[in-house]
Formats: sequence, C-alpha cells, structure tokens
Amino acid sequence: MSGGIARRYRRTVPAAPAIETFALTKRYRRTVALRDLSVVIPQGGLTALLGPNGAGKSTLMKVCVGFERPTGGRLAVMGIDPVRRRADALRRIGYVPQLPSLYRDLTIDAHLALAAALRPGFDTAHARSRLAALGIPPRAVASQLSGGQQAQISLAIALGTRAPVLLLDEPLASLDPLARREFLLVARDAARTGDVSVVLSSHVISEIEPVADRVIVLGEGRVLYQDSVAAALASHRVEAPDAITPAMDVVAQFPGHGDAWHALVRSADPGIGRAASLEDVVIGYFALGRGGHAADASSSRESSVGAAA
Amino acid sequence: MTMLRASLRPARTELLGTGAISALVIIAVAVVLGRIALFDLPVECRAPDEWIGPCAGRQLDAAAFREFITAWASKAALLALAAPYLIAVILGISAVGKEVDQHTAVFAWSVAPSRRRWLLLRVLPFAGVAVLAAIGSELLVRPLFAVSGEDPTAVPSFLTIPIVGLAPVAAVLSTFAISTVVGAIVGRILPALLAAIVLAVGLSILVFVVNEQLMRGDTIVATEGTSPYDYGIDTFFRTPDGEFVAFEVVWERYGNPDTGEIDMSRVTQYVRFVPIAILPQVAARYQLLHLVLAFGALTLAFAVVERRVP
Repeated sequence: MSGGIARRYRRTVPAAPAIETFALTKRYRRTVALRDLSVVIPQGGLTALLGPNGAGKSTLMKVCVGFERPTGGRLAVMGIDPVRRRADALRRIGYVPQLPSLYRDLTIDAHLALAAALRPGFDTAHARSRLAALGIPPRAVASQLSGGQQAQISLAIALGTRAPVLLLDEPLASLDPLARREFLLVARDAARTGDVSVVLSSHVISEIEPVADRVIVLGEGRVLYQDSVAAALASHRVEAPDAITPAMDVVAQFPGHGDAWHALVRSADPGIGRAASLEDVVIGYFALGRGGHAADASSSRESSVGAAA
Repeated sequence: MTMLRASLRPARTELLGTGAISALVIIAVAVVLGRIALFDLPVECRAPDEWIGPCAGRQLDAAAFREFITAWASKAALLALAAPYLIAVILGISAVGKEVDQHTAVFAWSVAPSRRRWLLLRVLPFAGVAVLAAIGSELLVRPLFAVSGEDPTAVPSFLTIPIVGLAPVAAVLSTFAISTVVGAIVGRILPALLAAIVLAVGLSILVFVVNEQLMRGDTIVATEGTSPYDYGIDTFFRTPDGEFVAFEVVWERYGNPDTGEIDMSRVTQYVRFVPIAILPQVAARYQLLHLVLAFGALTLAFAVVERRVP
C-alpha cells in the first residue's frame, strides 16, 4: 500500500532541474561576473551556454562545480546546493574544464586509475571504451597527445563518472574543426542516449546548432535569452535594417557576412525577412547585450535599435 | 593498480626524487664509513696520550683520520640529518601546491567529490615517507657518530634534543605539514618552496626557544648542580645579610682587583639549573610542540584546500 503511494508520489513530483539558479551573483572585487542570474536548465538534452568572452559562462560552471563561491543568490544542481553540500553536488557532476587539466607525465590508464581511486563508482570500462572508439591508446602519456585528444580524455573521464549532469566549459576553444566535431558528437550521444544533462558553454555557435536542444545566451553576467533551439528558431526572423517598421519587435542589429547588416526580429511571421539561424539569434542577443547595437553600427542604426529595444 | 598506488602516481617525480636523495645519502654515508674502516686505526689510537703499543708509529694515520673526520664525516652527518627535512619540504609542496600550480587540482577536485579524502590520500603516505626518511637518517647518523669518535649525542644534553630519539621525526613531520599548508596557500611551486623553507626553519627555532623558555619553569636552585650535564641558567650569590645579588654586585663588594678573586667565605654561590634527570620530559615536550605544530598546520591545510579556488 505504502509502496503504491510512494510510486504515485514519485510520479507526481516533478524532477529537479539539472541546474537552477536564483538571482545568482558573483563579484571579483570590482568586476561583476554574474549579475542576479536566474536560469533553469531542465534535465536531459544538451543545453548550449553561449555568450561573448566575459559573459559569465565559465564562472557559472565553476560555481556549479564548487570551484567558486557565489557572492549572492543561490543555485542547485539536481536539487542540491553545491555551496552547502559540495560533495553531494559533485557526485552528480562530470566536469570538463576550458583547458585540459591532465597530469602531463601520466598515461591515460593512470588517469583512469586515479579517477577510479578518487571517485566512488567511477566506470573505468565505460571511459576506456569511449577512448578506444576514438582510437586514443591507453598507454599514451597525456603530454604526447593533441589538444583535441586531451579534451576527449577529459570528456571520457567526465562520462566515466556516470554523473547525471555534464558541465563542459568551453572545451571547443582550442580544438581544430575535426576535433570539435568529434567532441560534439560524443557530447550529443551522451545527451541523447544516456540519462545525462549536458551543459556546454561555447562561443563557436555554428557548430553548436546541430547538437543543442536548448540555448541560453549570457551577456555581462545576465541572461539575455533562454529557450529551446526549436523555439528560438521559430520565434525569430532576420530582416534588412532598411525594411524595419516601427511595428516590428527588433532585438538588435548586427553585421552579417560581408557588408550587409541584419536586424533580428522577434516574430514567427514568415512574411518578415528570412528565417533566423541559431547563429543569427545568438549574435542578435550578443549585440543586445552590448547595448543594443554592434560596435560599428551607424548612428541611425543605433537609434532605430534603441527605439526597438 | 591499488587505490594508494593510483593516487600517488601524480607525485611520481617527487617520490623518485625522494628515493634519489635517500640513495645519495646512503651512498655518501657508506663511502665515509668504508673509508673510516680502511684507516684500520684502533679507537684508542685516534687521540692517544702516548704513541705506544698498538699506537706506536701511527701518528700520521691518526692525523689523516682526524683530517678525514673533520672534512667528510661531519659533512656526511649533516647531509644525513638535513635530507629528511628536504624530503619533507618537497613532498609537502607536492601534496597541494604543485597540483594548484599545474592546474591538475582542477582535474582532481572535479573528479573527487571530497577534497578532504583526496588530501588524506596524499598526506598520509607522504607523511609516512617523511617519517621513514627521518628514521633512516637517525639510523645512518648513529654509526657515523660512533665510528668517528665525535658523537655529540654520546652524553646526555639538552642541546642535542633536536637530533636525538623521536625529535627528528616530529620535526620532520612539522616541516612536511608547514610545507603542505604553504603550498596550498601560495599555489606556486617555487615561491611556496622558498616560503616553506623559511617558515619551517623559523618555526623550528621558535619551538626550540619556546621549549627553552618552558625549561626555565623546571629549574632548581642549589649551591651546586646534580650532574655535569645539568643545563645552567644563571648564577647568583647570597650575601651575609641574606640578600641575593648578581655576580657584578658580589664582585663590587667582595672582589679583590689585585688578585682577581672574590672572597667566597663571605658569600654563598647558588646556581639555577635544569637537572639532567628531566631530560626525557623536556625532550618529550619538544616533540609534542612539533607534533602540535604539525597537527595545526595540517588542519589549516585541510581548511585551505576546502575553500581554495583551483
């Protein structure tokens, strides 16, 4: 009887988000890295955390993993506050830092053994199979491997933790295009086939689009936009600045490829301009985060965007 | 691969360095002991009153022996005494400072849910190695002192407390703990190394001074000491009036500038000293001070690691 009640109760209680922040603030002396940041990253799928340099992406991840303490607000990883219960929160997190932090003179096998020694329940076989699939030899020394291979090792170890949340902090930054794609494929597979919520921060937008399920755009420590990729694409159009009318809900103007300028418009109306790509949406909100216009915009564009914003 | 072995792999270089230092010391001491043996000079002939019997005609050998002892045995002893401290500093810095400096703490602290456990897995075996080094040093120095005939620990003395018995083990442990916490705070290998050496030396001197100050609470005042090995603190005199005065006053009142002597029939000399009988207690207190220092430094290291940004 009680088991039945417990089962029903479990079904009715919504799962805690993978990550949830409430007015999260992080200050470094005079610099504010996170400013009253409130985001909800639901469980499952791959969430892209996008933003220009200094937007607060890495800081958010470091706070989640317990490397930094927030100045204000609070956060929860799978419902657990990493500030108060860091060990419990860390058991639910696999983390890949921006720069590979492997031991230069240790072999991959030694890294896996170390991870198994430090992390109860570490799945060495799983991590090893991921590396084998990528052709990375287990006896190779970390310093002899390329940046891409080192990033893959970090990812394999993060996956080996079998943590339900995977935080990937700009792992693509130092990788060549092929390594980036390989890395993203592994991350996407983990999000789609495993019971894992992947949060991947980056500013390489074009390659994120095919793998991301949700997108969060940060700028100067604030959330500029968050939604599913599908909703983002469906609810935005790109119009030429000359064709903007006062009735349009213009997010911002930004330079396109070549000389052309574009305006990102909040609308699902197919009669407006063309369909927006994820890159358009993200760059549009980057521009909004910079004050409503791109750096080289003319004064007339500034005024029109200002009015729209 | 066992858990311990896996967790020590990142410090392989330091552990190999420890092995190399130990090997160097063992070789140095073995060479010195071997050379001493080659002199084949009976103990009684090293500084005899007369060159007779087995010592007849061995003057040159004895001189060469003494020269060798002065030049090399003391250096080998110093090396053996210093090695465990060097090992303690290297391992202490390696425990946390090196990991932070080389950003590998990011890996370790994101994989390990408990930083405390991570640090325990490093500190316990490292401390064990440092203790073994201290014990090994003691085992090497002892025969060196014995064969050289210049053993400062041959007679009981408060001054040799730091190099006798468990005192070096306690001091090496505190050096290791200080290096660990300094490495954790500074997070850079070279500055931490220098700071740890300065701090460890400074705190060791402080422990010695504090122990000496505490010894002053254990003094006895008497007309004479109980043993030639007592630790004299000061000397003072009682005048016929019952007044206790210092030597300068006694000299002024009862001294004879012509003979340079004091008329001792009129005053009673007293000495304040620490009796040699309490040497074991004083040595134990010295060890305890070092162990308290080690415990405090390690506790601080754990607190720093808990809060530190990698």
